[in-house]
Amino acid sequence: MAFPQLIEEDMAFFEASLRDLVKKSEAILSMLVEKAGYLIHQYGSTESVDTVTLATLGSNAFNATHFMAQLVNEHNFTSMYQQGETYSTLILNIDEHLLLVLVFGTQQTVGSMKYYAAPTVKQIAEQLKIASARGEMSLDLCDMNPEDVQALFQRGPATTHH
Amino acid sequence: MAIINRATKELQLKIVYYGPAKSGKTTNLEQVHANVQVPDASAKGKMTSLATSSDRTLFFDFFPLEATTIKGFKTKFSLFTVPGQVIYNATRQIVLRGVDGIVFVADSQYDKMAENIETFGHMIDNLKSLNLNLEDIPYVIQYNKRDTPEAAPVEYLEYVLNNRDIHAPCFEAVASKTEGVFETLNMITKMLIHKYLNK
Repeated sequence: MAFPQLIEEDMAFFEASLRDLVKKSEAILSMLVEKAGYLIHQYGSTESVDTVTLATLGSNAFNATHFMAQLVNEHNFTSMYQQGETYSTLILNIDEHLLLVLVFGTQQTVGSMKYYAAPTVKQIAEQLKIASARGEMSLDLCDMNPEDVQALFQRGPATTHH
Repeated sequence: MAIINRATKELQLKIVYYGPAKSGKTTNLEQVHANVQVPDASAKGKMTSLATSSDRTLFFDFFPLEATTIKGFKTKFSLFTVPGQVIYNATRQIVLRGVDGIVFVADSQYDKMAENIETFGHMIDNLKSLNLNLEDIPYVIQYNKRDTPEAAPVEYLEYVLNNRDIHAPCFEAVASKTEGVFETLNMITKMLIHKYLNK
């Protein structure tokens, strides 16, 4: 089943859920990440974190570890924890499409994160069911000029990034 | 699997560069990243490479790239490569998850033909394991390393790699010199946008 199209109602729900979770758990950052690596929503302190890259690495790491677990016949894989010295990361499975990523200071415990995140995971999974039940809406790009997409990307003067 | 967010007016699409080892997948991404014109810095994300100590792709290379807004929608492309080495086939499968479009980067050299064919076959198998069919996914083929003396004629490469019911668009390239890189990227992005235009 495809990932449902999201509307304002969904995003407002995600915003409220993540805000509530960050407030209760005292996590630094919470993110909703689609398993192909897309960042869907984030709440919390994002100034010093490249959240797009974090979302991509987190989802692929989760998928890789899930794959690894299956190789040893472990089929119950719902979370992944990276323990840091200052900050830690917990990734929780929401449903077949979505992950909840939490970044928190090491003064918090992974147990408390799981405790506070459990209802959030359920609520977001329910909201995704509602979004899926709406069905697919057309994207309405029909009056777009196909010529506009002949060359979306142009070569410019070379720059180097390190 | 595209993400359509009507609230933020964003369309997110995943493009994977697939191909045998050392065919130039990472070079394609590096050249796009270094040379693409963007309206502002935020349209192009940082390039992340998970590579071995000898600079071979271990898991993937990745960077996000935004296109000009299309009818009020911001289109965000996530560009990925897979590791070319066969031993990393499991990680290729993971990177293919949710793919919307594929660029198959073939090495034009005669002695790489068996690897090209084998890798193409692995790609089809990996897609099947994710319940995806190549026929349903827009893809283009890039014949890279056209400047090498051992490069096979394009007609031969077409016969070997692009001999299916649906003929994929193909491009000759010398990715290290950026030749053919943007033509390839623009074709796959165009195909993806048209897929949604025609929905």
